[in-house]
Amino acid sequence: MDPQQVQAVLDDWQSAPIPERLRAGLGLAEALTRRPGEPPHEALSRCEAAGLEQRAIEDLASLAFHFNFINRVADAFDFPMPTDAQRKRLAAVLDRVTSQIRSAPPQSPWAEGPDGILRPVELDQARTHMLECEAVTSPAMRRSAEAHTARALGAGRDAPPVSGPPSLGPYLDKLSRHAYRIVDEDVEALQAAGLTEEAIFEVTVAGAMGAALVGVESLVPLLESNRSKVSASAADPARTMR
Amino acid sequence: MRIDLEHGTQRPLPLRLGLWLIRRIVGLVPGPILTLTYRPHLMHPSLRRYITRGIGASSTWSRGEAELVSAFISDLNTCHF
Repeated sequence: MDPQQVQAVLDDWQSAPIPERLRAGLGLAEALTRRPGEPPHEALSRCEAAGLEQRAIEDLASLAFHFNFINRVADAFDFPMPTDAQRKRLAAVLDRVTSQIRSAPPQSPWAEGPDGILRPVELDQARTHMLECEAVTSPAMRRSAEAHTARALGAGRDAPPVSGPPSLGPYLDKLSRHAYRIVDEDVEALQAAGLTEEAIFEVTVAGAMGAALVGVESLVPLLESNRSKVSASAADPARTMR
Repeated sequence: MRIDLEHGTQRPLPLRLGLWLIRRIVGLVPGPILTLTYRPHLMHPSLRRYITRGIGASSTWSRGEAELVSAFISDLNTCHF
């Protein structure tokens, strides 16, 4: 993408010279990132008015989840920044790899998880596995990390007390709301409390998962509601005439 | 990096070879790839399937659009990565 166009979007996405379809998608990404706990009624209406089909909205939700997850992990662990040359080589590799990835959408795009919350099917499977599989940390610790970050962003779900050392709660708060403020001392405090690097990794990805899920969980019920209306209209065409 | 994600002991040999190749070509292994492979048993294949919906060839968004959305979200999160 043209770097000037990217800068224009970062400066003011509402007035940047971009297609309305893309602006509507950015609006939804903004809602899922900034106000993840609120159902994004307005942003979704704008997407529909701009002609975005449901598949595009679901793909946008995937992008929002992806980067809300990885941004938090990147800040927590302080990923090294690639140089410009490395970035170009990486883009070339990703072009080749992503052009090979063709993922068919699942037949049923979402389903209720074990906790009764609607999520995309793949995401629910990934969440359940990440929280329940055998690992260095206990499932209870990962579950509480995931629930803590989700609840901090407004997710309406039960959050058991954080299972782990006292320094874990403040760490997860930062991870959830402003991961860019995590500093070396935060991770060192977890290590000093006896958590290994593997354990810190596990609670961090569980926490990032919880935080990144919130926006998607707010969006999916609205999409399901739209789908039900469309199905009802298809089953009873006269309804659309009334 | 605060956690040594480069040297995960649970990566199977094919994965280690893949990372070696990326390091040779690019000059570093990007953090997201290290994250998804550091403790691979934690990451269900459906996670990779879900996150590639938005950036893969089947996405309704072009590569450039997906990059713009990712830059936008990273900026909202004040994440410089």
